[in-house]
This record gives sequence, structure tokens and C-alpha cells, in this order.
Amino acid sequence: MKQNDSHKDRLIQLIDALLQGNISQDAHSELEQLLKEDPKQRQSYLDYMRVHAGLSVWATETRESDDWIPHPTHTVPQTRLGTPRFLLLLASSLVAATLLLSLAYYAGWNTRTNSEPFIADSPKTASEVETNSPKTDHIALLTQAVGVEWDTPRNLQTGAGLSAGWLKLKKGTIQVELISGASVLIEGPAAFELISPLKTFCKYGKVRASVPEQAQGFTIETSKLNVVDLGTEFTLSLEPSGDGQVQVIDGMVELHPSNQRKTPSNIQSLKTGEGVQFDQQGITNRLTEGMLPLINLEELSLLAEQQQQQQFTRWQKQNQSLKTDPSLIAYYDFEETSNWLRTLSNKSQHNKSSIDGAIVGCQWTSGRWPQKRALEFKRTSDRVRLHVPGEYQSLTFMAWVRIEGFDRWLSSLMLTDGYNPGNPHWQLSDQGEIILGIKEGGGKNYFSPVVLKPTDLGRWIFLVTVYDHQKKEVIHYLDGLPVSHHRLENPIPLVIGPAEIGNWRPKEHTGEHSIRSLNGRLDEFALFGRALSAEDILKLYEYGKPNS
Amino acid sequence: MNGSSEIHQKTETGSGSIPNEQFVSLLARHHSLIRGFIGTLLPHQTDAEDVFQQTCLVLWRKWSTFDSEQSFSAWACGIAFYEVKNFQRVQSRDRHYFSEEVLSLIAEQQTSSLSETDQQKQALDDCIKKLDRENQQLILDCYHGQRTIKDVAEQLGRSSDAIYKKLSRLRLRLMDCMQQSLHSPEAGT
Repeated sequence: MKQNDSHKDRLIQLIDALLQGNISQDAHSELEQLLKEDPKQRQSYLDYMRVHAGLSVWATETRESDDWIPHPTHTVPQTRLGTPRFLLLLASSLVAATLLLSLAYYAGWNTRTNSEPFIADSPKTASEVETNSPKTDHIALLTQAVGVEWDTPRNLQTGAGLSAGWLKLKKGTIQVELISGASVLIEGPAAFELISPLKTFCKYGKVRASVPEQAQGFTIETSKLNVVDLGTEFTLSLEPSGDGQVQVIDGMVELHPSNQRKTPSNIQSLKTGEGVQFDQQGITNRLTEGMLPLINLEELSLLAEQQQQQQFTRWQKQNQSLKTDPSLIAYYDFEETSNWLRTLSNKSQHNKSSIDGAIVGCQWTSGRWPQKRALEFKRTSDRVRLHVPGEYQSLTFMAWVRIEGFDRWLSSLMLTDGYNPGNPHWQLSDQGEIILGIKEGGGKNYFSPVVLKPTDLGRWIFLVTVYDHQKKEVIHYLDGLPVSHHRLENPIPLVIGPAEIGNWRPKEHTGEHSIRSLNGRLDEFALFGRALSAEDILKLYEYGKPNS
Repeated sequence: MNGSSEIHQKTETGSGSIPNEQFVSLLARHHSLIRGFIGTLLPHQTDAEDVFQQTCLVLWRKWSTFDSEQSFSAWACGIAFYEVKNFQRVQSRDRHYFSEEVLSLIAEQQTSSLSETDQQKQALDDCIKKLDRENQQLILDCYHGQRTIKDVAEQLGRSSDAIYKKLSRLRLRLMDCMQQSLHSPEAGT
């Protein structure tokens, strides 16, 4: 390697500038060129950089050993063994995190393991511990929500998984199925806390609980008494003042005082048809007349259907006006008339070059509402192929999608075949990030923060990403609201050409991540040749969201 | 590592088992190799240090996927490579970074000779020992990362430029020394 000393000198000069942090753009390009073209130069670079990196390691280890034994005169146990300090820290913090996680787990389930609802310590201390692991600790599922106005910032939708925590309703009715098998209807206004699969707390509200054999012992606590279910169905109605009543519809329940030790004398059993009234002083009286009937599941289902019809009609209106938007390049509403159709027609009225999609593999299914149609993407071959001609300064991608699971690191929304200059790749990461990748020279990816949580799997979400040439920014939206803004250094015109929705056909790419198929459903997809404003997007969401 | 893969693996979530002894001992044995590998891809020490720490976490998270038939160093460097790319993707504002193509070429070229790295580390340590105390101290001061070159220069009453030049000469000298001690006059190819 000494045969070419002048080259080597130049190379070292360039690397030194790089290390010094004052390398110019030109010099950097020159260095890249040298490294790209000549394996010998690359080897010299490696030899030199190994020394550089090796010196960092050496310096760290040498200094670290100084710090490690502060008082060499004392006998210090020889624990070092060349292990840098952070490694030990890493190991100990991981052990701590794991312990905390398991604590949280057991605290949440303690009613099950000892079937003593009384002695359960509050799981709050454990659940408040911050861990970096994503929480997939769902203990329940929101199966119905009718006419609901939430009293919490987070707008839960039907299908959402629920972790331990509060459910607060201003109005409306929800059905919650716990993983123990117990199911509760909650009528607002209500404040109801899920504690574990077998334990809940009601501050106020009307609740109807159905408890199968598998979930015997299911308890609703209140500040005055705990209702323990031994049979199948009961109702609880509780005023914010603390007055309330319990009635057994079918089976048997036990009432335990909530703040005293349990003794046989202060436990009351109620059988079918029996009920009690109680007040904030804890005085209970047998109910002499039947309490106000609470909504039942059939009624709720009927209401849900009516509500869905209204929402579907609302969306249909929006759909009509959207079709006339002149900036719409491609618009798929998935409202095809037959299951046999394998063409997804572009509903944009202005776009003369009709960009119809070819359906490959996907099955027809229902969308945001039972009346709405959708395509299901399940297998790695499922996709919709399309061809979008032209060049666009700005683009807006929009989709209503229901993700069933993140099977792999990347899930496609819409990707161009291959990845050539100007090509956009719109996709999701398994972390729950929305990503717009633009091939410009290298390839630049605009990642939203982690916005999709495990609770978002299985519910309909509204995703929009705007590539704004004029404002020089990329903006990601979730459910009508912006979640991240990214500066565009040099906006370039975007070209799509052959592309796929819900999948990716890589060109000459056989490495990792070549499979990016979507696992979920799509029931609306649009591509606008302009940057939609935040107001436009919020409006689209308001008219399209599945629940009112 | 394919050139057309425009996005790379990020940290995997979800944790498996408590780090076991085997993992800790393997990581301890290979940490300088992995750190060195990252250092050849990310010239700036603080960057390399950050990515190394991140890599260790990812290695632990992915520990359950490690097949004990496999070489730990190759597995770890594969993951480190993704972490480097990941880091560059997030940073890439104020500094110059290599394109993915160049990065892959450099990584490829050294993964073929990972097994030699232990000897190289030994050789480097021996060569450093041959330096006089003053030069060793200079390397320690400049490479430990607690002080900037400017600070070091001020303390020594020299210009930063002079320190940079001195470091460059020391690196070249050490490189030559290593090559001699590894008995491989053609190590460069």
C-alpha cells in the first residue's frame, strides 16, 4: 500500500479534515468518490480509522479504570474485568426495569390470584412507573360506543383496546368487554375505572354487568361498597353524591363494605330480582320497587345501527363533494357495486386520465360502517396497483385505514415501484411512526414521532401526509390533527408512475424489508395534487370519522 | 444492507429475558470491536459513542434472536451498522455523513476481517505503549472526549491546528507500527 503515497497523503488529508469537522462539501464529495471507487483507498481509510476508533476505546478504557478505583490503597473487589462502567449500568437498569414490569403485572392481577378483592393494594404506584417498553397491557376492549361524548382528551373508538385506567363519559353508552370474560354496559355521565380484568371502580354512572362463569368474582368497587358478582347479571346506578342502588337481574351478587374488614356479618347476598339502595353514609335499605331500567344490549345495538346510518349518510355527502375537487389526482372510495369487480375505479370527476386501480388478491369486506365497503389486505401478495402519470410540486396523501397489526418493520400505505428520483414512499413503521420517504439524491425520510399506539390497532384511523412545495415542509396528520412538521431543504417535483397501495414491488431489492405488505383494511384513499390546508384536513376528518 | 433499501431496521421494541451472564460476558469481550466498527463509520467520537450505547441496548433487546451457532461479532456489527444508518438518518443536518452506498462498502470491507480485530486491538495497544509518555497523555486528553481539542491546545500553549497535525502524525505512526507488528506488509490490500 505504499506504492501510491501521494494518493494516500491526499486521502489522509481528507480524513483528517473530516475528523476535524471542517471538511468542505467538495472535499467530502472527493473523499466519498475515492472510497467508492477504489478498494485500496477504502482499505487505507479503514486502517487509519481503526487507529482513530481504537484510540477512543483505549482512552476510554484507560481513563475509565482511573475512575473506577478511586482509592487504590483500599482493597477493592476486582469486578472490573475490562467491562466499561456503562455496561454494568446497562445490566442493572435492565434488571430493575424488568422487575418493575413484573410488579405492575402482578399488582394488576392480584384479585385473581388470591380472590380476595379486599386486600388488593392499589396498583397505581406500579402502573405509574415509566418504562420505555410499549404497553400492550390491554385488559379490555371497547366493543360499542353510541352517542358518546368523552370527558377525556383521547377520543376512543369502537374496537380500541383498553389498558387499566379511567373511562369518563359526559354522555352516551359504551360496551366494554374485559379479557376475563365479564362485560359491562356503561351509561354516561359516568366515571369508571378499569383496574384489572376482574376488578373495576365506579365513581358514578349507570352500569350493567354481565358475568359468565369464567369471570366469577368480578367486582365493581365504589367508595361505599363493593359489588362482587357470583352469578350472571346485575345493575349498579351511582350518583356523583354517592347515593346509589344495586339490583340483581339474574344470579347472585355479594355486597362487601369497602372500608371495613370483611366479616360474615356485614356481607349481604342478593338474589335474582333483589336490590338495595345505599347512600354516602353507607346505610343500605332493601329496594322495594324495581329501579329504573337500564339500557340493555339489544337496545344499544339498535341505537348503534341508527347512529351508524347517520354517520354513513354524513360521509356520503362529503364523498359527493370531494369527487368534484379539481386537484384530486386519484380518489378511491371503495364503493364498488360488486364483489366480483377487480378494478378500483378512480372517482375523481375532473381527472380525465382515469387512474383506475387493479385489485390483486385483496378481499372485499366492510368499512368504517357496516354499510361502507372496504378492501382487506392480509396476505403478502395483496395490493392495489395503479399508474399515476405526471409531475407534482406538492402532494397530499390521505387514507382511512384500519391496521390489524404491524407484522414487520415497514407497512405500506402507498409506495412507488422501486425507488427512483422524485419517488415518494408513504408507509408506517412497526413503532407507530408515519413515514414519508422521498428519493432525492440519496433518500430522505420524514418520520413522524411514534403516534400510533397498540390501542390504535383495530380501529379506523385517518392518516394524511402533505408534501408542501411552497411552504417547504412535510406535515403528518393523524385523525385530522398535525402530529409533526418537517422542513424541506430542497423541494423537488414528485413523480409516481407505477405504484402500489398496501404493498410494494421492489425493483432489484431482495434484501431485508423487501416485504412491506399492509395488514389491515382501507376504505378510502385519495391523492391530491396540492397541499391541503390544516382546515381542509380537519374537515375531512370530521365528516369521515366513524363515530360522532 | 442492500443499497436500495432506503430505510433500515430501527430498535426493536419489546423485551425478552433479563440479560444473562452469557450476554454480558460476550458484550464485554466484544465491546471494543463493536465500538471500533462504529468508529470507522462515524468519525466523530461523540456520535460513535452515542450509537454504541444505543447498539448495546438493541443487542440486548434482540438477544433472544441470537443464534449461538452464529458469530457474535458479525451479528453485533450487523446490528451496529443499522444503528449507524438510523443515526445518520435522524442527524444529517449540520455534519457531513457518508452516503449509504459508501457506508455499506466500508462496512462490508471490514466485516470480512472481523476475526482479525482482536489481534489488531492488541497490536494497537502494544504500539501505544511504545509511544513516549507525553504522546500517550496527548492521546488520552484528546480522545477521552471530556475536553475539546481547543481546551487541550490552550492548556498546552499550542494552536489547535498544531494539535490536529500532531494527532494525524501519531495516527499514521501507529498505523505503520500496527502493520509491521501484524507481519503483513500487504495488509493494505
